[in-house]
Amino acid sequence: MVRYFILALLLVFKLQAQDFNNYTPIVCEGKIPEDVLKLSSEKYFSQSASWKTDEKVQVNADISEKKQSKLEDDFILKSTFNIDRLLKSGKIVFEHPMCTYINKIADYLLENEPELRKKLSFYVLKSSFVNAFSTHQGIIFISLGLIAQVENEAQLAFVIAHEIAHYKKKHVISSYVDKQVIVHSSNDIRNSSFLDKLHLYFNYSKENESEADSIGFNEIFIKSAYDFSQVNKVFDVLLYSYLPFDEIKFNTDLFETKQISFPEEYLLKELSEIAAVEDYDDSESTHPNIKKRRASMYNQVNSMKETRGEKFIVSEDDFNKFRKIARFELPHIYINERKFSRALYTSYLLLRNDPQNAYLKNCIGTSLYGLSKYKNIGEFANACRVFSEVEGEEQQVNYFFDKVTKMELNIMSVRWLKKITMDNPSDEFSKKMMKNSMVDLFLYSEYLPSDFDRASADTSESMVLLADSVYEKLSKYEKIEYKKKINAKASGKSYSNYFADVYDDTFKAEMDEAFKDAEKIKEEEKNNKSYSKRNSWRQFNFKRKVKIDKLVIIEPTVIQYRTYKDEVGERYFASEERQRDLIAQIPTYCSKLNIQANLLDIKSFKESDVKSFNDYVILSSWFSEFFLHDEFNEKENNNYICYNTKFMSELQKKYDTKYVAWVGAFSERRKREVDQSVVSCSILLFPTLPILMTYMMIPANFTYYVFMVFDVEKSEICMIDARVVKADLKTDVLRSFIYDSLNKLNK
Amino acid sequence: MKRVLFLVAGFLIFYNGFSQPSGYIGKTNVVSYKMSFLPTVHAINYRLSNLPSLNTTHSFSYERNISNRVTISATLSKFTNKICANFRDIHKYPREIKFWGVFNYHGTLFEVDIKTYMGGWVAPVGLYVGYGLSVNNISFSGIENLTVTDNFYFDDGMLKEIEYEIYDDPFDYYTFNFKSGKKSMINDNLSVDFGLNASVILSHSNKFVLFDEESFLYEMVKKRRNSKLFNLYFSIGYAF
Repeated sequence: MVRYFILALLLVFKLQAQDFNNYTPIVCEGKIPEDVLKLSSEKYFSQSASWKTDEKVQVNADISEKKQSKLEDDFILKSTFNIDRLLKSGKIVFEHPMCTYINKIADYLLENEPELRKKLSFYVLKSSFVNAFSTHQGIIFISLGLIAQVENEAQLAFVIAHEIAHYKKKHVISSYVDKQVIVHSSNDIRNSSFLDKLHLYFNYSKENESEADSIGFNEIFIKSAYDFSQVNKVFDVLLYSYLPFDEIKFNTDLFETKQISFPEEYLLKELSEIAAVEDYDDSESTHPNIKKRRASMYNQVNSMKETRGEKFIVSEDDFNKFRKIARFELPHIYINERKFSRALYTSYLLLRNDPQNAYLKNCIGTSLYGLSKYKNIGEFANACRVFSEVEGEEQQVNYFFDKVTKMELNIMSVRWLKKITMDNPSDEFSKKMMKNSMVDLFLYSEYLPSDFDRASADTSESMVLLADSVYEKLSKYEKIEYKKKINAKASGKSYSNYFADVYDDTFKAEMDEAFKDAEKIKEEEKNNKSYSKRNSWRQFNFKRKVKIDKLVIIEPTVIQYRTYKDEVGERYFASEERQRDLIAQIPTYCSKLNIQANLLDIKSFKESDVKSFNDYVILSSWFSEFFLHDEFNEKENNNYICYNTKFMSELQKKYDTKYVAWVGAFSERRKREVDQSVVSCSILLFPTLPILMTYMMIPANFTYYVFMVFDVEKSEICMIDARVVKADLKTDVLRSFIYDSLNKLNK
Repeated sequence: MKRVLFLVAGFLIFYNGFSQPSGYIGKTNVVSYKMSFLPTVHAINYRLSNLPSLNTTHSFSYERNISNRVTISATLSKFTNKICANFRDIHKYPREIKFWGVFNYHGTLFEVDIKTYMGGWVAPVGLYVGYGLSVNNISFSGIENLTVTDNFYFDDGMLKEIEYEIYDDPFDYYTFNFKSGKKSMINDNLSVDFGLNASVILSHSNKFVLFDEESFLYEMVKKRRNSKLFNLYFSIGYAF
């Protein structure tokens, strides 16, 4: 019995402890909240009804109550649907212990206001930005970037108090109403210039921010036992939020070997100063500048008689644990956002405290892979910010990767990834990236596998100049080879030693295979130069020769938009209606066509389907990443292995397929534009004028539809079925398109 | 005719055997009732009243997908119009012929056409252009009810009535048709189609003689025939 108890205790301990060595990104836990499951339209109707009975705040004296009510309703509609998209985007985390911790802080801050507390819910936002925001529904999002940068719980608590104040004072809605009043203004405002209007709007917004600071402090934070002096430090967090969470010197030792070190000119001798300006011009900003906010809060904090307080109230251990998790999340987020140099530097910072951490090494490997891929295709600026725009120690990272050559970056990537696979032979993903990088190595250089072999490396290491008599006895080919080595050594551009510590028979075989693949690609490119010359949607349609009878379909995206007369914006209800119809029809069509499809639709999930929700999140992230690396989709033989492919193997097993489909439909209703020549012809042939005028009065409709199937294992597109039709997105149109796309799958 | 049928059958077998069009959610056949019309005014239509008429033709059609963008269809149409010849006359001195009364103009049309659905549409839904050939058979009834007077004048008055004969044999003419329209589904089975049709006469049989080629009746029938060459249509069908 005691044994079982100890075993259970150990199990619980194991479950609670975070394994940072094999760190996996945080996922949602527990039950899916109603905020996520409920339809946007349902939420809108309930929120609109409750808003009407709620206490009104006269926000703007320039408009009537009726007009204000209309604007508020308009805001609730837009906000509800857009927040709902964010909730479903896979960027939020619910019921994770980190959320529980944030909720505990909120519980503590609002322990005297239980009614207000009930209206609020907190989610963690998977974003690297140092940010938090509240919505009119009472949802408050706290970004991982913020959690990673704050120094203590008191700072986090002040940010939460600030956001609660925004909700309490209904700033989100009042800000929208203000903006609309300015845009469609009357009286004096109408005659002002656009810039004046903009400044007026920014002033309203800044007032709201100052008010939130003040109310957050005086009505919420002040009642707590937190250290008031931390409020001032929150502004430091905000001021330097654009920098990584630490400032540590970057050293290239990590990528150097005994034989190879990078030249000194690859590193900046002097770094740019951190030039965060507190007193920046905030006339075109929604927030007052940091100096003003700090000054305003400084007076309020100083006016307090008591200055005592705690930095931690809920739990210091929890804070440290969750901040570490947030920091570990950052490389993952940066890689997803294609910020490879930042991901590499963040991993580098974390690796200093945990030098053997496999997760961090993997993140560095992935970042090197990303940087080398982008350097190879000449789009490096998309993966690494220009070093002159970067401040602090991070500038050295960007400068270094800017200076290293394609070749150097490729071999760095290959070596790093090879080392990972040697440490962990079961890491198939790193192996896949390494092979891909190896192919690039031969694709973008004139090197041969023999240039890197151990024999060559060893010789190069211990190379001595041969005496003339010895040299003369060499054969013609040996002489050429000897000269090559001498020249390479003299120019400092010999890389044959670089793989010395990872070179073995397997590596040699992998090199040979990669070389063959590179040669094959070169040959294919010679014969097929037209691939990237696709310039119309119809030319994009294609399907690889594979029969797909099993796949996962991710929730379709349907957006109906209008820019016609006064109606500008999305037709939210129509979009939702079409989307729901599509979701209802897809299973029927699939069974009719003998296709086994798993449709991952959040609104069809039950509370307990959190695993399916997490599957959806992984797939969404994969898609976002895939589309972000658009530069590679144009090139048939140069595919980019998405980072999120790493998390696909489990999904592949679970759903027993490697094919994932995404459907998107976008329609636009806009004013019809008729060519001048048509009008002129019609005037000449005047009996046709009534027909033309009638035609011009009817709005033009366009529908864009895309059905894409991906092979997530290979990170490549298997099928694209794209269509553009001049019609509104009616049910029959969408149904016929999706049926046709599904019908093409198993042909 | 046999040769045409053979070609059409071969065409159908070929496409049925080698392609699997999606159709509208798997429905590749549409049977429909079509009403063609051209709002016309009295002067063109020769109606009994002065009101504009619809000049309608009723058709039954069968359409089948042969690929995702192409359908073929066969249409059988019927119409009957009344032609009014009240107090119309041919006055060619010294001869005066007068008609009055109403006779019927019957048409039976058989059309085979091929429709191509444009852009990204999946047949049979969406915008299309079609090309077709039709055989049009025209017959008359009620000619015997016409009252005809035929007078022959000299300077000093009517001399005598002469004999006349009306030929009312049916005749055929062939047209090439161009059509453009849009078909939608209002639920998963019901299709609605509207568009316009324009035809060009390829040839017509020699039997097209009524009374004689100089006569007013001949002109009336010719105009009637031409009024059918351009029309708008609306159809409602069932997809399966």
